[in-house]
Amino acid sequence: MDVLLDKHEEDIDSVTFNVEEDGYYTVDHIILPNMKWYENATTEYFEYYDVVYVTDGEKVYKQVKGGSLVECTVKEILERNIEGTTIQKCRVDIFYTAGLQNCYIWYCKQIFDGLLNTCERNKYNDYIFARDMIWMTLNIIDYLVGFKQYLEAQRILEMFQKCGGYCKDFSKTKP
Amino acid sequence: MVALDELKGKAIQEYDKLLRELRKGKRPKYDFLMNLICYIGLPARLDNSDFVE
Repeated sequence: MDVLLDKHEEDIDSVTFNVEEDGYYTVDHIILPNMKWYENATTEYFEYYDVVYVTDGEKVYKQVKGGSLVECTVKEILERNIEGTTIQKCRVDIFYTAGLQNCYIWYCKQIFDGLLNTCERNKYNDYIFARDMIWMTLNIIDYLVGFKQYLEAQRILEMFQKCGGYCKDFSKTKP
Repeated sequence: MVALDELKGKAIQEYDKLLRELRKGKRPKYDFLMNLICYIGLPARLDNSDFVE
């Protein structure tokens, strides 16, 4: 079962959610045993764990002293140390740059339309500079993400957004 | 791949310099960085090209 605090849609093998701002995101997949496992598990299994968490697909439960199950919050699952529990976590790093990409396409289109109409290259020097800067930024972010330097990529993105203000209207996108 | 990573590292440094110049309000020359990024992307483009065998 995937647990997300944001609104999301999920399929058998995928989870879809809206991202409104460019930047670095981490998605934690929380994996818990189901009730079938709980019902079939022997006491030997339970003794192996300090705390047993299970899910019926809708709610999350934990085993308390005496062996009974009580409902617990998703917040508790997210915040607690998973060592010695039945919780498994899988973290996925995502760097989202769709806003910057849209911005790049917008500049390319403006330059293309402009040059077709007037053929005055000098008139679009500012747009050409902005387009090149965005293209270089996207590539540099791509390299940093490849090196798994996500925080450095975030710093570059924020610095680029601050200076120049080339993509002010594109920093927040609606998918 | 190691050589390519070295070039990417160099590009990151050059970009950092460029951004610092930009923050000072200057409009720096960026031909070297543009060419470097194009060069780094060349092997991938050649691999995907139908015209190169």
